Amino acid sequence: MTRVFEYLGEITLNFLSDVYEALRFSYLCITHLFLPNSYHPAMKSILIKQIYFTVIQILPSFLLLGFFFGSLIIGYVITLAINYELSNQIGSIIIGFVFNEFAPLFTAFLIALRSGAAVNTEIAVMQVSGELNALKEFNIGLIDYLFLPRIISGVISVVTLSLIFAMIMLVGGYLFSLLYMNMSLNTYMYTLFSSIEIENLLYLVGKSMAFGFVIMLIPIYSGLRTIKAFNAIPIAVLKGMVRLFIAIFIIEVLSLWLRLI
Amino acid sequence: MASFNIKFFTDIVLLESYYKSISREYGTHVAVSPHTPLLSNLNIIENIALIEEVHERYEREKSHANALEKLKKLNLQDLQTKRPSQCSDLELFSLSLIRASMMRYVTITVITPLVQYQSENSLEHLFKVLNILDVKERTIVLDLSLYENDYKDKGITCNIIR
Repeated sequence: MTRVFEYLGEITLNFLSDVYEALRFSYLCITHLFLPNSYHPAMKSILIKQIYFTVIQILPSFLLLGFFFGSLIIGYVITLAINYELSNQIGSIIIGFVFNEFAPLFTAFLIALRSGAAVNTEIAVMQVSGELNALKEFNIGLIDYLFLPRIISGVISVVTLSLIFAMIMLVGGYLFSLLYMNMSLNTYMYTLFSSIEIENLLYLVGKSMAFGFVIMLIPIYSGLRTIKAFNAIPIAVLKGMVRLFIAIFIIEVLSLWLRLI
Repeated sequence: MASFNIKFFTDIVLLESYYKSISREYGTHVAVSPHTPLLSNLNIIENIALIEEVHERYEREKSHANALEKLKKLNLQDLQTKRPSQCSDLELFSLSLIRASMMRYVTITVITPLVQYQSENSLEHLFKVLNILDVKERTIVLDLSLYENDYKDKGITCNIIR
């Protein structure tokens, strides 16, 4: 019996220690975000590269995926609204669904799968190969040089791509409104503009920023904690991705809860 | 003629603990060792220019020009766009020394060059590079006692620290 309590106590202490370390790391990264000294030429150069990798490079496939997937989803939502005789509320349904829920969450999943996994692997490989040690040896701050550009690009990419995805879904929504409700473009635009509020935009931006932050922070943190063995890299990536998806769900639940209160 | 310092150790544990003790003072020493490789996601010129971009806040053009100048001194300018994985061990050794030389006012500590770069002429190469880069006076080599004779056999002028 004592062993069971010891075991549970050890797990709890380890968990609390992990949470404390993760929060401390987040605090350090956030603090460095506001320090002008963090923005040296090397950091800016990495930031530009990261923005290219996470926003520009993904754009063609994202647009294509967004158009097909987003249009189908919004089409289904419109069809449901018509079936349940909610045609007069179609504007607020589309705006609420697209801006508040689907666009940020879908983008977050996509960026997490693509860039989150890549960053987790990159940092884990750098840790194992001794490159992080080399940076420390040369007094190059890991947070400023490596982590901030990735975190900033993560935030920028999720916010930008969420907005783009929302626009694509709205275009898809028009095609379905035309098909099912024979709605003209002017009526569709009027319905949307009369339903959209600044809150919707702020909500999308705020939620996307939170997603973007954790999508980079958790893989970085997980990569940093890799033990120095090459076979530890897949384990670090696996752990990082599981933690990341849990964090995405927590943010989603918290955002839903915030809307309800 | 300026000479550099060498300190020999009976085993690697003593050597590493000595390095830890001298590097404890923040920003006074920089190591050239297998534990401080070049960054694999940057090319050679970016690896070297990175030091000045961070510490001197030089813009890309200026830091790259300075890095290229150092590469030219060692006739390694052809490597500038290559990745570290595309370079030989001896080239990497020279490039690590160039990168270390970009750090101003610090002692360059070369750790076990003979263990790192096992080649017939690695010692001559090391001293040739240190001479060309003009960093002999601020360089210290830490090596194992079993290689002491190799240094003597090559007739290299140095101060052995006891």
